[in-house]
Amino acid sequence: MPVMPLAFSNKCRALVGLLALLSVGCSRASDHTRTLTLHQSWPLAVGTEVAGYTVSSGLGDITLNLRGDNIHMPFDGTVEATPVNKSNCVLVSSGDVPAYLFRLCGVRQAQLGHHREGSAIGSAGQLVFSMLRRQPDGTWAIVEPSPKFVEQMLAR
Amino acid sequence: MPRTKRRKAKKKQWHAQLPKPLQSVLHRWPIKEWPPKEPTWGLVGAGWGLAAIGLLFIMGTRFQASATNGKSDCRRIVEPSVVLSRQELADLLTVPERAEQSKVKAIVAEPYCQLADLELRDGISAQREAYPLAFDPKTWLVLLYEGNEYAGYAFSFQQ
Repeated sequence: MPVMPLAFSNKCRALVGLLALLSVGCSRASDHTRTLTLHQSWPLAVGTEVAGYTVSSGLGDITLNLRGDNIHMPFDGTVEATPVNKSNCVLVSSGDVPAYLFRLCGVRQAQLGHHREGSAIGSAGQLVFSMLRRQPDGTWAIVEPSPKFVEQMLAR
Repeated sequence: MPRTKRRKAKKKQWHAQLPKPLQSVLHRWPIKEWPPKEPTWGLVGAGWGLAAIGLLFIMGTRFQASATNGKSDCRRIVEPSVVLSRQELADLLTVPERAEQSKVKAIVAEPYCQLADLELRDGISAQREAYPLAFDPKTWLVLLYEGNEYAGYAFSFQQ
């Protein structure tokens, strides 16, 4: 008879423990988010829907077939999550590189937060990359990246 | 019967060689009765051990994350004594992006140092200059130019 309540309280403890773990895990994931306004607005941008399908890259984006390989930090900086229409992307920025932001969509297991140059920040099957330059009105314009810079982000 | 006896004796020997906390876990293995009537201190100890390792791991990644704001890589020191006053910083922030470089140079002539040139946009070289703040020397204002055009600023935290 005393076995029943004991087992029950153990289940309760397990549940409380699980909830505690979940809350710790979720609180760590909730920071590092940034939203921004693009200078260009095209109707078919990343994350919009057409005929029930999601647009995975728009005008100005460069899609790279990474085959699951790692993406590396091009300099010391920060990785932040950003919602782009209905898809999830990350923004890479650095205090040493003013006026520019780098948007990466299709990143799996993105490592948000501060990173050193060269460290892996996630991987991708099809990586959708765009380079953003700050405009005087505070919006961000998609510009043409140099192949050298893209290479720096991939080859390590 | 003598066979099982021998096996039992062997088991006892094997257990005796293990450290004390492990012995107390293994002597009731496999656990037939769960939850056990008396606490298995070995298991409790193992639990605390795992929790401690987990905590250390989390702390480790936290500290690593906060320490990754490195030092900016100066390629050439231009004027070692230059620092920005509050007034100069305020004036610099009023210069709009796309202004001519001379507008910035009218406020502060020489930077503390120049960082390595970058090629971000295709075919356009970007130059970067850094100014430590007089009232917070570990924070640098970094300005980026593309030729004669001022492109923007960022704050870089030195450690």
